[in-house]
Amino acid sequence: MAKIIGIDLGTTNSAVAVMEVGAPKIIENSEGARTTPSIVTTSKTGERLVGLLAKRQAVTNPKNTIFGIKRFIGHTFDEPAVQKDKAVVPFEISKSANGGVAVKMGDKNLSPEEISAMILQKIKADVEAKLGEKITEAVITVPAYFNDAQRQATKDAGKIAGLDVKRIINEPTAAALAYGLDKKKNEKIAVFDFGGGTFDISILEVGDDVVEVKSTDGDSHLGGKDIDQKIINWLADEFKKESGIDVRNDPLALQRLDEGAEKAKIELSTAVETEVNIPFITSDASGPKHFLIKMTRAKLEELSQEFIDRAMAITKRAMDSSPFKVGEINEVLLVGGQTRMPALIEATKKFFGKEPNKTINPDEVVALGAAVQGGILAGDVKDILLLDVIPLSFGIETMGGVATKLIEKNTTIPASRSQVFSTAADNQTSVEIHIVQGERPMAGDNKSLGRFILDGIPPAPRGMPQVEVSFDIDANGILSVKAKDKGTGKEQSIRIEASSGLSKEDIEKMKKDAEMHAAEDSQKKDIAEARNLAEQLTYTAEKALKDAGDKVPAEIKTNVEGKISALKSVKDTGSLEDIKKATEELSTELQKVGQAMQQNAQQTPPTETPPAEPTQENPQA
Amino acid sequence: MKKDDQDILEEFIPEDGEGNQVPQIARLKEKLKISEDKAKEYLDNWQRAQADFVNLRKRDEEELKNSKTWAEASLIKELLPIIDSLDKSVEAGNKENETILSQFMAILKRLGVSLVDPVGEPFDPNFHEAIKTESTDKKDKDHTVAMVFQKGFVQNGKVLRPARVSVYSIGA
Repeated sequence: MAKIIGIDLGTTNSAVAVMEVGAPKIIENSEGARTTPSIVTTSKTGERLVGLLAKRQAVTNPKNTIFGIKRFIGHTFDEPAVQKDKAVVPFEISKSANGGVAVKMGDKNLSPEEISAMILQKIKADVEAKLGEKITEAVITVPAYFNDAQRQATKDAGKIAGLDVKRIINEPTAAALAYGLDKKKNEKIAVFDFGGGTFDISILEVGDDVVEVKSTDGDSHLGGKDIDQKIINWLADEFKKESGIDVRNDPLALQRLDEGAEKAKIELSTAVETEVNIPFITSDASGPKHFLIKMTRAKLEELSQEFIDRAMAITKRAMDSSPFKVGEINEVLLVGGQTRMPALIEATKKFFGKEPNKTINPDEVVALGAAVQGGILAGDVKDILLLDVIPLSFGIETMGGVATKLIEKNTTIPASRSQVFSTAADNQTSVEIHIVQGERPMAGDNKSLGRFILDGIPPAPRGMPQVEVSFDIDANGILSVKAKDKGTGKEQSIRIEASSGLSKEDIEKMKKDAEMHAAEDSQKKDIAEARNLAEQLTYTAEKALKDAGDKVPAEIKTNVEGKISALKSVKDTGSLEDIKKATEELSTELQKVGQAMQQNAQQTPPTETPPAEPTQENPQA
Repeated sequence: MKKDDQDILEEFIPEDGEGNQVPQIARLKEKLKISEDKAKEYLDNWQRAQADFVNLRKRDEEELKNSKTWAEASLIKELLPIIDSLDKSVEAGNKENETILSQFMAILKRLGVSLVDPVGEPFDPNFHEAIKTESTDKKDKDHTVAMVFQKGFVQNGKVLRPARVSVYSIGA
């Protein structure tokens, strides 16, 4: 069945995504970029160019390079907003035969639908090339405030591009889909979309498989570009103070300043201070000039404050015209690259009183959500295929009280994992399988789910028997554990219903506990492992001495025995350092036994080889 | 399922004389058809999921192969401003920096990177980015590169950074 792609047809940039094995994925364009500038042109050489290439030649061809066509689609020519934009764009707009907008590109007069279709055509072709299959259907997103004419025009643009537009969905709804919030009941969601050129705030309500837009507001001329412009002006002013030169008149210097400002802005999202360093930015009679200035996050916030304030004022307006109070909003979603700025995140956090959702790339979230919708319409997302993940790890208790994980948390289920274990002592004929759930390294600190015994293991030296422990979780989260002695084929199993019964609070608490106790748990585990190692080494050393008999000189034998008893005495009560030290000393002494045996072997034919250290983890007896 | 079979066995009613199917058997046949259809659907979907998975893995392997190249290109892109500064420094008369610049360029050449320095060439948006226009009245100069502000870089055919140029334009 052909895929239905999801397209975010933006004013400045567009993006496309498609469902792949249950998750939406952004598809890169032919230039290798994840977004495509929404720019179309008939170049000076008569070529039709779309996207990055159109952008690169814009300056040479302003009359025929069409950008921001989204501002005109579905509008009539006489509308005040259109007239306002007409005054500032370098290309020519006129009234079309049916009262709509006609855009002059090259020697043709085109409708906004036809221009948008060219962008959609490039997107379609690039996706087909990347995926190697034909694409004929799509979901396209539009702003929540788009009226019927604008929605229909967008659909028509798709048709012209050869795409059957299965659905037009609202951009904030797409964001909600990307975050999986459409599954919830009676959720109230605020979508805060601060993009490059426009700001949109929408209040949504989700319930009964329907996402409803309760109120929407925004400013179609407020965006990241405004902040960028302010930063550039500040930098140019600072440089002018230093050098007396205004680089705003120098296109290359301005370009480098722009890049520097962009880099600084991005860095200040994670650092509190950065540098804008542009050597040889310009020159005058006295020689070349360099620009080096420190920029703090505080400065960036100061420069952005007026725009953030404007956005928050509009947000308040949207809340007031919605049926909800601010406190009733369950989730806040951040959309648009500008929302990466800490000051903006803080402002939304302060306003809504909760942490906003920003885990999905804010430049891509709308396209991803459109792809999710595409998947639902294509029948990809069947209820029976909505798979869960287990929130906490499952494992068994092994030697020393350590929790050995068999299935990691966040594993998608159903899943099966198995691992081979062995015995901890010689002639151990049974093993106890103690099943635990949780993230802490010591089994005793995790939740005990059950235990059972597998017996009938033929007597053998420790570490020899092979007991395969298998964990199987079905789609409902029911865990079955099986232990099988590979030698005899004997097996025992247990089915645990309780593993899926933990409440959300319990799960959160267990995760938090693991984090809080991470340091001391790590120490506990280190000691347990050191003790295990000490025990194994003791066993190996004693066995080595026994096997060597009188082939090893008495002096070495005494030394080794001394180290063995030294290790035995610190093993259970000593500190980590003491145990490690004693273990190391024994190991060093023990090597002398090996050396002595080798020397002996050189004089007599070899009869024995030194025993290998066991490496498997051993379950508790 | 077992329970239904049990029911049928306990309530066995033979066919009537005219060869009409008894209701229970018709029901069972219906159930069987539904189960067979479902089984076919599940098998088909399972095979599709498997195919999707295999195709995804193939794409992942391809991406992994490309990621090394991509990471290298990314790193080189980050270093290009240094070349710009060295270029400008040499332009300003610092002859010594010329050797440092050639050293850098030699390393890039070894990595498959070549320079785009298109003065006088026809403007090509595949490799050039116009940041300014220069007016001219000569027809043969129209739409050619007047000046290169920043050189461009191409690695194995892929543009790392387009050359930033000014373009002649008639009557600009």
